[in-house]
Amino acid sequence: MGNHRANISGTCLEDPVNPEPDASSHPLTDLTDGIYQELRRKARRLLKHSSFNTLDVTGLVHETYLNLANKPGLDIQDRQQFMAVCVSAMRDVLVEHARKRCAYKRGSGQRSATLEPHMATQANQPEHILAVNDALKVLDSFNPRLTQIVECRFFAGLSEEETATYLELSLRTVQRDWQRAKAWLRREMEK
Amino acid sequence: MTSEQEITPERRALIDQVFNEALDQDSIEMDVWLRQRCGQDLDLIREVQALMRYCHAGEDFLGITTSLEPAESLALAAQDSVVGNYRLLRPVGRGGMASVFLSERVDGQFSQNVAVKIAHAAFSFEDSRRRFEREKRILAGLEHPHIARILDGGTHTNGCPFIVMEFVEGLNIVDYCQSRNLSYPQRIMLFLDVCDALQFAHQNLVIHRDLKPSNIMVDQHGNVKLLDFGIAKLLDSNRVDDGSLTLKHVLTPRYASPEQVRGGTITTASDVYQLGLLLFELICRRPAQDFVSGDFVAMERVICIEQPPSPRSIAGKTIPIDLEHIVLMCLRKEPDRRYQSPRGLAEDLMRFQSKQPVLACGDAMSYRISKFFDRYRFSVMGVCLLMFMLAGYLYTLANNNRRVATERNRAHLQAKKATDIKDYLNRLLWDFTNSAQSTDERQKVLDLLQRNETLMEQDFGVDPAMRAEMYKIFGDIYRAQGWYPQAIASFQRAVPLFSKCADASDPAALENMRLLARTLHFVGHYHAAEPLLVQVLEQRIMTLGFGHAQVAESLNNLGSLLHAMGRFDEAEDLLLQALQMRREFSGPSDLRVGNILLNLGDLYTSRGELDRAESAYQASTDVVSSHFEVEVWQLTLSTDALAYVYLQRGEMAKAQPIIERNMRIRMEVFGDWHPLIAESLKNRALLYRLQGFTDLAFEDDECAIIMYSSLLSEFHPFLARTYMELGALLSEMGLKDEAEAAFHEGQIRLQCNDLADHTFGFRPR
Repeated sequence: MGNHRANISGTCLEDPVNPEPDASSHPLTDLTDGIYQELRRKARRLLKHSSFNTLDVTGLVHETYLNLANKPGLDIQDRQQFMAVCVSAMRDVLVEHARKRCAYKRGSGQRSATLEPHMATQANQPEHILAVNDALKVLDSFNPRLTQIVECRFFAGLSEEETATYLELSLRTVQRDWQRAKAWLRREMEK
Repeated sequence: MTSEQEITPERRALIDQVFNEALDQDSIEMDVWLRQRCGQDLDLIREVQALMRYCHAGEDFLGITTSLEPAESLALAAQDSVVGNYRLLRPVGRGGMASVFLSERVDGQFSQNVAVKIAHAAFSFEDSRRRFEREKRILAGLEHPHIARILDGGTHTNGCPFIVMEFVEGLNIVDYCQSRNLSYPQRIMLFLDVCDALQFAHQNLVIHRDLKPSNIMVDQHGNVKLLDFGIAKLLDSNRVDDGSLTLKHVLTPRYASPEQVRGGTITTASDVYQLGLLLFELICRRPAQDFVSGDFVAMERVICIEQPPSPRSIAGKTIPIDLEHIVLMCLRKEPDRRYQSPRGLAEDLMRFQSKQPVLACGDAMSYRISKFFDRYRFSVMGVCLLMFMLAGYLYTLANNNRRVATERNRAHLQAKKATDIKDYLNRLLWDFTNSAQSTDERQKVLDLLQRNETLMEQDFGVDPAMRAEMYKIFGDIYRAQGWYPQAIASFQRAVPLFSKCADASDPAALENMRLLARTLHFVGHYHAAEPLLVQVLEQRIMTLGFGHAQVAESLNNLGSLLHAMGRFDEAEDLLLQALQMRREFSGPSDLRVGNILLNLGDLYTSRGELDRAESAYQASTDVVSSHFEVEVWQLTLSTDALAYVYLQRGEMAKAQPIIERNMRIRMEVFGDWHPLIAESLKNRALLYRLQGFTDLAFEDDECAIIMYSSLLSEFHPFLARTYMELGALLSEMGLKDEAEAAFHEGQIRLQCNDLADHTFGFRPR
């Protein structure tokens, strides 16, 4: 868990009210602190005012990328790292949101809507998001890049092509890693 | 997550590593490979196997869809919802992009039930909505007894597009055939209806794109109905019009064509491929592309590379061989080698039914050759073995041809096969010689080719037609590789054989003669080439009439030859005729128009008419550059000539960038040892000379001379010109004796080629 990305996500999960106590020590912060904070604020606002909607979050990520691409003085490596941080932030916000919804459901005694099994879509069920998040922690312990891919594809809702562009990886790598990551996730989630 | 404590991250990293390697392995040999890789660590094997299994799971478990509000469109089913004017009754199917519901009209206008298909994703752009409307209209106009009609369509309140179509009750075609245990002829009859419907759609410019058994229903009366025509595209209008991306998402691997997997252009030939898959399944009772796994890498390999299984190997020898050939012809990996239309396929099937010879023929051998080509691309041994296979192939071909009844078919097939073989060999040799850096290696290839040519001669001793064709192929290969003496020898051997088995006007015989003459022209044997070209021209005019594209070709060849021989006025006359004829028959922007213009430009340069030359070269460049398919080096021919004109005028600044750029391009394509490079060097020498860098100019001229004399011949006319220029340079440098010697060398070459002292312009192409 040595990398900064995991560090940030760990911190803010613990303390959603005061998200980044150690953000100033982060090497990228000086450059991009503004964008990062802004992004989290926007994401929260978005989730507060609408029902859960991955695509809106995806839009945010796109916006951030464009914002970033136009910023002078950032080289590829900076951009790449920052996009990783940003996507990871999206994950945090979504997980945080899912926790709240779970708690709310339990409190109100409401059960998740029952649909015909083949039509059930789990993507926006808070329990499901939390399960993926847990499985992802296992993934992160041995292959952080797979985690990044899942964050992009699942949490940020990016397509394979977009993931490749934003993380500056080849499409082939993304496809391959996504396949691997899915297998691991599935294995962990069904244990 | 109790297991987390049991397995350390290091252990997981190891599992992940083996898993990653395993993804590259052949799925059939997976177990063996795992045992070798993991040794006694059975637990590791189990872990990796489990991951491999999960690997092929879809994305469903993660619930990822492209939908905006998936829950909303799906929840429609729960209550009896209304979409447009239709009430949904019950779900009847669900795919990756859309769900289908049996529905009825709300206002009871029709009692008939319909199917409503609702996309999971809403329109994201106004543009998509317009495209949807447009395509809906096209599809609604598609009225055919075997196509389920589109009745209506629109946008639901949640923004998702939906389509209302005829509801067909029955079984899909495969289940139908199975349940009634239909015989092959009965199955083929049903299949012909499918072809008919597709042909109709293609004529209306609609491609199905997603043809598979579940989209082909047969009702209780035995009527075939195709569902979902073009709907894949229609419902996915959200994306920018890029078929490839779209289809990757909705791809059904079992019924996908190679171009779909590779993301190529989807054409009517993709539908023909899918027809082939269907025919295979109807005959063999199992899908042609069956995946043990849903692994994308394996899938890509099976669809794009592996040869489809032969129906006879699966369903037994009771399947007639011609039927097998028909199926395999549909399933060729290259779209343009399949049947050109569903009708073409249907006609061949009907020929098969009435026991006439079919057009499809076994592809196994040419397939094997292409596999071979992939495997042994860079090995000298490879070329050798390939030749043996080729010999066998030609032999089979000769036998097959006797079997095929009609003369027209025979000629057609033979020509096609010969072209196939030649293409393979040329591709192979092209790559090979490019990779063969040293002259030594090239020599080895040449030796092998020649040895095999002799071997094949023995194999085909009997049939002069086959032998003639074979020599012609070899000659062409040698020529493309720049082995001119060998090319001439091969072409010459073909000449008497052709005259033995074909009359003088036979197109193949004439083409052989033309190629021989062109090669002779190129190596400087102008006087030997002339009567041949005259003969070809006369024969062509006699059989084809005066106005014909092939006559234009002959006129151009002869014109360029006469120019090289210094007979400028005759040459101009011929070239102008060729130009006019070519423009008339092939269109003003045909690539070969550019070629004639280039020859004309050369002629004007020789005469010193620089302005006319410039405009001819410019016109040539315009024609060639309007073709996207030409390789970039082809453009260097006219631009280099243009640069030469600039040099003659002393416009060095204009010429320099062109000359340098062209030289770079040519070196990338041909390496540094090629007649075109010599030409570039010669031009650069002139540039240097005019700029006053005499030393550099001398070096380049000398290089050009060495290259020409070793690549073409010691006495090639090109050398005459280069020596003349060298002489001019040397005398400019004040080296009087050396200049004399160079002029003398030039003179000798002019005399021995029996040329006047002004021979110009002919370049390899």
